[in-house]
Amino acid sequence: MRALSSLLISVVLAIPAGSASAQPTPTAGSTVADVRSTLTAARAEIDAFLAAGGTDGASDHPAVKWHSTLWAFRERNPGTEAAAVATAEAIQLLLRAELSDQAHAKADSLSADDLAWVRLSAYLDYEASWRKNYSYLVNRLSDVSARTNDGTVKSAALVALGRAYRRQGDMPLAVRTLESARAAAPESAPANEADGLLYDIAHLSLGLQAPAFSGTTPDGRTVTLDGLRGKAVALVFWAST
Amino acid sequence: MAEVPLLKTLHDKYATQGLVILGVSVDSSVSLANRTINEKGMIWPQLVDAKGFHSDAALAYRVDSTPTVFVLDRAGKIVARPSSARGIEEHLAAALK
Repeated sequence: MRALSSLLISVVLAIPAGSASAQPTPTAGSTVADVRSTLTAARAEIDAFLAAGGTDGASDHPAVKWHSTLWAFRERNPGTEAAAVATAEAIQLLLRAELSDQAHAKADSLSADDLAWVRLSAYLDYEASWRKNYSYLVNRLSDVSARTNDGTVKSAALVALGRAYRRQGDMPLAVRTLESARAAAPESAPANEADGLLYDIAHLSLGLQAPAFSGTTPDGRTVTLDGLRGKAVALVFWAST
Repeated sequence: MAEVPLLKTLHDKYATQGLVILGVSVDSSVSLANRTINEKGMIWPQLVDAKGFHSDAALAYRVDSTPTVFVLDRAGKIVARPSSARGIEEHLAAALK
């Protein structure tokens, strides 16, 4: 059984690897699921490229052509949710391949109202925190959040900015930015994320009094954090699997 | 719970100096949590409310993945938020002061 599944996996992997020099077929269909299946193929080919000794940042990186495939999908399906996903994922492929200049040029071509910013803001945040370089993110997302007419885009851009300011240690600016994010599109996913980050800053920052709680031990005793005052505590949340 | 041997070492080394390792299970079953505690020999205090990420403690600390670790000093202040148990020991001098 194991031999059979390995065989099937190698066959599946061999398809993109074998066609590595050909242009990928254009993404058929027009749905988010179609974008996802294209991404799966892209990731398989990128994994094979890296496993064969290819390096991130290389100009022959398969992310370049797969990014073009996703971008073509965007242009065939303008204004749809699927196009927004394809756009953000196209740029994310370039970011993860360490082709930042190309990624940033593509991001610069988007209007401030493009729904791709909802996802792309978070991707730029990952990239910036990994590179420890926030200048592109701060410039671009400040501009997007100021100019967009879409509340959710504004909220997502402000959340990414708030995270960046927080990592840079500017807590007052982080809090102001996250409060604006929360107000920009109440009950949206980025607004809820902003709410969580504001709680974290207000209650879980280093140096603050740890939030109180109580819980039950396996033998039925109640333990409270207050009851441990005078002891140092390593609080470890864990799961069985 | 791959970090059990490390936590056991910390417990053995620092409990007499005033460290309490407090485990909080985010399992949704008490029997599953108890089985793990017994099988792995987790001999430090444990909270097993079987509420997953919705226990009193998990909500207060906004826990959404494991392991999540906080190191608190004797006054109950947060001194570190290491990404795993491996990051605990370097903060114990400050926490036990």
